[in-house]
Amino acid sequence: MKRLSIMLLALTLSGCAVQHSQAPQITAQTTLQLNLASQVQQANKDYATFFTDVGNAQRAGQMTAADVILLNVAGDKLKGLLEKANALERTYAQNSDATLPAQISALVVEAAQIYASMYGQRATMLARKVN
Amino acid sequence: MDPSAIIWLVTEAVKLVVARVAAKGLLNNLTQAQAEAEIQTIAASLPAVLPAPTDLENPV
Repeated sequence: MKRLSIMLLALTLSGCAVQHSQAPQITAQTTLQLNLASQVQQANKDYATFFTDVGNAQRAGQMTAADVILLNVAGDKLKGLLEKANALERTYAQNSDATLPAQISALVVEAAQIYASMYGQRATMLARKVN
Repeated sequence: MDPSAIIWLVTEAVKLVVARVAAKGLLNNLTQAQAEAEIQTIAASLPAVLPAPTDLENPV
């Protein structure tokens, strides 16, 4: 289970990275900016998908109200992290401040760690209901 | 390790891989100008305030 959770963390962090070797027509700086932007965008999509799925699972009787409340605690923290990342990303797109990529990356990594934990929790909850 | 939990996790992993591979293929084909425009488009699409988990779970 831990190994699978780590794999999910790695997948979440991988985003949909453009490789400079496969896209030499794009400068390294723009590649970095695009990768960061796509990681933040993907983290937003993952957040929406995750909690939409949770709602569907609850309506289908696969998760209890207590399960959902537990996941929502982590979700509220994730929401705050993503809103910070979104604000920094919007600033970075307008102004290539060299300090911003590290700050945005740190937020994406923290968000990915929360995702990995939530995926594991939800899998355990769903499995419990199935069994 | 609960087999059902493993199945749920593997399903999530597959969904993540499919979404990322599809997006990566599209981004690698962009020109420099398109890449710069894409950054601006993505940044502009990022919301200042996200819906709460409960709003996503219970869409109107």
